Amino acid sequence: MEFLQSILNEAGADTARAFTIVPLFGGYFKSVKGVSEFSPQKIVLSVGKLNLTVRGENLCVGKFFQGDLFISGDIKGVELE
Amino acid sequence: MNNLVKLSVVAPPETVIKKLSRAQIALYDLKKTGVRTTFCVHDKTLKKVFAIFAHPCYNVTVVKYGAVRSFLTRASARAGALVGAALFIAIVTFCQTFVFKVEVTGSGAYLSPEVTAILRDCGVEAGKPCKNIDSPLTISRIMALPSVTFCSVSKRGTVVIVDVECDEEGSISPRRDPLVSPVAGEVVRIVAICGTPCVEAGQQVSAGDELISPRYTAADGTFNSCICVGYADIRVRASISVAAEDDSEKSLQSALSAVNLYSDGAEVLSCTVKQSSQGVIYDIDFTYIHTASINMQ
Repeated sequence: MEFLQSILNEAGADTARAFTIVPLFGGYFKSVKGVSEFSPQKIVLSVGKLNLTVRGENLCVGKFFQGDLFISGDIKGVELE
Repeated sequence: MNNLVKLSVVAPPETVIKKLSRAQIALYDLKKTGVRTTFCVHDKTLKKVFAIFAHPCYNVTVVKYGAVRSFLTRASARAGALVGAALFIAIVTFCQTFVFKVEVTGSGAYLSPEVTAILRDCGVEAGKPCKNIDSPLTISRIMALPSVTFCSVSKRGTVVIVDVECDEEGSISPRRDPLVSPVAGEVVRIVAICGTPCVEAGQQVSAGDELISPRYTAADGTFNSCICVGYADIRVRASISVAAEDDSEKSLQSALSAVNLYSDGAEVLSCTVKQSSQGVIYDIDFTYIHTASINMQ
């Protein structure tokens, strides 16, 4: 993790808006302001001024509290708009 | 996570997430089921959630309570049954401290009256509470009964079971008569392992007096017969006259040594000398301990 953190710092990345995907398990998203669309196949998240579209199967919100969101299910892809 | 409450509300997931996020309420396991959205929240935030979805159009309902709350709800609905069960356990536990029956098993079962009497003396009696059923005193007293080679006392529920084994081959049948004093004197010590002592230490007895009676008092006050097992030490006062050729230290020592023929622990009270035609006669008053026993092995 320290190696990843140093790369992100070098690139000037905003790690507060990062997300982590685990195939066939789910994904962890930070700084989520809200959910603008929800279905088992598609979830659209508001992250800052961007919209993050999570596509997959059997998606559901595992936990959501204070901007931290865990989506469980089989995530096939994430699109940034 | 056992204190999560599962709720169902008629609203889109986006609205639920938005409203609960604004109220800083943690949201778990949100799913869309038709027009309804199901989700979980902490038990302590339940009132807040109901307040947020207070409008009738949301039709918020509790699908399942958390484990703790669910248990309490069920328990309160079955309070009578729980109180009854607790009462039953308490009564059973309380009854376990009582003895309702004493059973003597094994080859020494014929000693049942004697064993029952010993147990009663040691505080184990039918219809009464008891804790220490297999005290060393109880075991040693039962082991002191004639021919007994093994003894075990156990408790199963409210029944005390005493397993007594006897040596059938080399045993002598016990005497059924009472222990009587063969001499007159003062009782120094009386030990009744089985049977009822009739005298106390310090009491004067005559020859033929009953020292231990072959009976015991039952719980209902009736007398039951049993064998006598025990012994009594009796201090007996006696005097002897010893003739000697002359009054000398050697003659006196010889006369006093005659006292030891009665008992090793004899105690000389007085010694007087009187002249006779053939020399002198020593009159010695002394006491000694005589032990009378019955059925002691």
